[in-house]
Order: sequence, then structure tokens, then C-alpha cells
Amino acid sequence: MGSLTKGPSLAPRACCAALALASFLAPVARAQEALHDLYAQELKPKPQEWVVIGHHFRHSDNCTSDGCVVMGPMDDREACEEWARDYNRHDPYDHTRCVEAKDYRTKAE
Amino acid sequence: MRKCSDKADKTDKARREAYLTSATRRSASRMILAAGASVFAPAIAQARPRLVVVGGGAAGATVAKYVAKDSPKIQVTLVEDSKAYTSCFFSNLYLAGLRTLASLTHRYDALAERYGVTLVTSRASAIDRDRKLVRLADGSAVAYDRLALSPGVSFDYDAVRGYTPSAAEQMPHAYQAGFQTFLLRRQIAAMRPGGVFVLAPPTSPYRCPPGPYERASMIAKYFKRRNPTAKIIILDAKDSFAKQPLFEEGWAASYPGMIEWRPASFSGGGLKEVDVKEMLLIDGEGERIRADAASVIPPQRAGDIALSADLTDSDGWAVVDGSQMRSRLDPNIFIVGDAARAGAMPKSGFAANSQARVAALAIRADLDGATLFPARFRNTCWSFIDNQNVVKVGANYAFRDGDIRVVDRFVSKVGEPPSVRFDNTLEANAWYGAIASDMLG
Repeated sequence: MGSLTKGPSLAPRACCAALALASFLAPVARAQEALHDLYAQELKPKPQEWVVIGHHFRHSDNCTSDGCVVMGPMDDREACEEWARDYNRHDPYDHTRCVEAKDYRTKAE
Repeated sequence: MRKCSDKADKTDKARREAYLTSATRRSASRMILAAGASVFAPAIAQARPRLVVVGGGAAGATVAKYVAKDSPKIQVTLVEDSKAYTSCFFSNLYLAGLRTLASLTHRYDALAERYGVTLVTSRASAIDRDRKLVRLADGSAVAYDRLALSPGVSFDYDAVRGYTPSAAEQMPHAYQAGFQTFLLRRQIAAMRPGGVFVLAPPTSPYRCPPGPYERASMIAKYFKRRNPTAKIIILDAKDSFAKQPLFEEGWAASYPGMIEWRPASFSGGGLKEVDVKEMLLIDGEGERIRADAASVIPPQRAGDIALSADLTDSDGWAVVDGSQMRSRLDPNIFIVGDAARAGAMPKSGFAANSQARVAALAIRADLDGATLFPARFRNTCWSFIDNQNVVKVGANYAFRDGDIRVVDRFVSKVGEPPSVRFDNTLEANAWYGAIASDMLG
């Protein structure tokens, strides 16, 4: 350190600058890390997800006797319920509805 | 599921290690050592022709699968730096809360397990065309007899002053799906009530021409439910856009007063400068728009590796012979997907998948004596405007008079009955399942 700063008086200053930089960068790095952790979670199925099921898509693999997945999975229940409501306005006889994906998966299995 | 993935990771690693070891045993005389890089090749490299695919998107994954499936004699290696693929298509639905990001993310494992594709999880850093090597970021290299290059797009960060890769974390382009899409959704969700969202689409050509306008629709869908007084400004670099009358019809019906489109002639050519610290976007007339959140999509060109390998034209797109998707600059290389200048075809997931099938057959003809057929291509782009309002545009294409040309086309019509748009919704969802399975299933 001494040889780099060419004098004892500069060493504490360089050291302080390095510490200040480190204390500035540490929260930024932590925030980035937290963001990437959240992203990693986003790439995994969530504990609660919803799907719209109906009787279209009968050719799909994703069907049970209750119906087939028409839309989703979604993590926003309101979006799912709104989608099913809109769908039923077009085709009220299809009995399309929003169900929790977990329940649907259990039946499918 | 988790266990299965972990196991697959280990299998990949073990396979790659065995791969490296066998190549090492074959001694230096069989390996081309250049600039200190190790070259690995399968133990039977001399007996089996080698296809290396760089990039595991809609085009690259399809080439890898179809060559490996239909010509087991060919040793297929896929070089891709991610273990999973998140589709750019349908990612706007994630912004609206209509799909989870997990449901748009697909692992590559099936390519290895079902078809014997060797997965190399690494970034391809360069192509040595003279030695027929793909150099990897870790310093090693993979040798090929034919190379299928599917690098997607890269961004021209010089086009908008102040917009850099780090600025893209504040104003995400979200045109490479995954982390960028996640960032954009967070920023939309964090917007203050009644805030302003600015979307800046680029000049053509670019990936998925209707994509920015579908994005505006899906963000409006989200706002309508969660932030009904928010506003969306589209600061366009063009004076018209794909499926414009259909989008404008849908916006008027579903999101009246929420979306304002500003053409290039109104804004001095669109966005020219950003100040991410102040969240300012400045157009060509000098007008400063303060945004609460923004998505800036810069002009695009072929992925960097195609540029650095001198496989592109002066505009930065890869030049190919559309009868086979073979590079016009190197007969050992095929270029598929968004990076290619593919005649009349747009840059889309459907188009990439279609080009990949043509390239796969040509590669099999080169390396396995397969019979070539005249190239035929198809494309359809569905765009979600509202829950059951999906519009589409598409065409069939053939290679004629030296280029890929439209044979016939179709497009949704303004004023169609809701039942037609509703059927498009089902069709689009069915297509997503089909292409994901076709690429990676």
C-alpha cells in the first residue's frame, strides 16, 4: 500500500476512498442480488396459480373430465376470473371457469 | 420436478466431462489446438459428421432437434449459455398477468434425453471459420462440419443517446425474454396511480413487428385493472406499424383514452435521447417526456457473433440463400431465425421455426445424404389486444427468383365478429403449446 501511494500520508486517504466506495457499492450489489433471487423465483411455478378451463381444446393433452386449459397458468387471480367472465359472454354454454391450477393438476394426475 | 432438473444438470455435466476427456485421450494429433484453446469433439468425431448449433431459440432448438431425430448418424451439439429458454413470443401476456414467466420457460433436457443432442451450456464467443471451430467463453472450442447459427438479435445502443446496457435495466427493452421481461413487469406494477408509461418502438426491421403494439395493449390491460388512470405514450420511430387499423380499433374499444400513439413525423423521428436518472425521454423535436416507467426498444441487427464472424451485410443482417438458409458467405454455415435477412419473411418465432426445418433438411442432405425438397415456409403472428380479441397476420412463402417470396397471405379484418377474434385466441394458445413441443419436446 505504502509503495503504491508513495508516502504514508496518502495511504489513509486511499484506504478511506476504497472503504467509501465499498460502502457505496455494497448495498447496490445486495439489491442486485435480491433482484436476481426474485427473478429466480419467478422462473419456478408459484404456490398459487390459476388456469381458465373450458370445453374447447378437446384435442389438447392438458384436459380432464372437467375441461381443458384454455388460458394460463396465471399468478393473478383477478385476471383469470375476468378472462373466464369475458369468455362466457361469448360462449355461455362452455361453462368456462377459473380454477386454482393446483386442484386442476391434482385431477389431471 | 426439481429433482428431475437437478439430475438433468448432473447428466449434462457428466456428459460434457466425458466428452472433454475422450477428446483429450484422442491426443493432440487429432485435435486442432489454436491460441491455447482446447478443442473438444466426440470420440467418434472422425466417423460421425458434426453439426454444431449456436443459440437455442425457436430456430436453433428446432434445427438441433430435427437433425438429431431424423439423422442419428449426425453428432449434434447445441451451444447455449442458458439451461432454459424463455420465449419472447407470449411474453407480453406475462406483463398483463395472463401467463406466468415459469410457463413461458422451457428446459433443453428433452433434446439430450430423447434425441441425443449434446448440450454445451456456455456462451459461444467467436467462430473460427477457417478452422471450423466455435470458440466458447471458457476458452475451449467445438469443432464442426456444419454450423447452424441462430444468434437472435443484438441492439444498436448508439441509436439513442444515453441508452446503454445498464440503462436498459431502468428502461427495459424486454426484447430478449427473461430477466428483462421480469424487470419491465416490476416497473409497471410499481407505477404511481395515474402515472405515465412510455414505449419507444424501433425502426424496421426488428423482431416481431407487431410486438410493441401488443405490448402496449397488454400493459393497458394490466392498467385497466390495477391503475385505470395511467396513460401509455408510444413514441414511435415509424409512421405506420403492423396491423395498425386492428390495434387502433381494439384500443378504442377496450382502452379508450389510455394509449396515445405518436408517429415519427410528429416527434422528429421518435426517441433520440434518454436520461434514466431523471426518467426523461427526449424526442427528435426536443420534447421532454417524464415517465414513471418506460420500455425503450433500440434498433436491431443480427446477434453479435454473426457480425464478428463477417456473416452479415452492411445493415448488420446475415445474408442467406433462402432455398436452404445457407450463408451466402460461407457454405458450411446455415443462419436461421431473427438474425437472417430472409426475403419477405418477418422476424418471428413461427418464421424461425419454419426456416429451421428447411435448414435441417439441407444439413441432413449435406451430411447424411437426405433428399432435398423445394423450400416452403409459413408464418403467422397472433397479437393479443384484449382477453378475447386476438388478431393475426400470416403468409405462405416459397423460394422463387433468388429470394423468399410470399405465395399467399391473410390478415384479420377490421370489424370482424367477436367470435372470429375469440377463435383466434384459442388458435394462438394452441400454437404456443405446439411450437414449444415442436422445438423442445
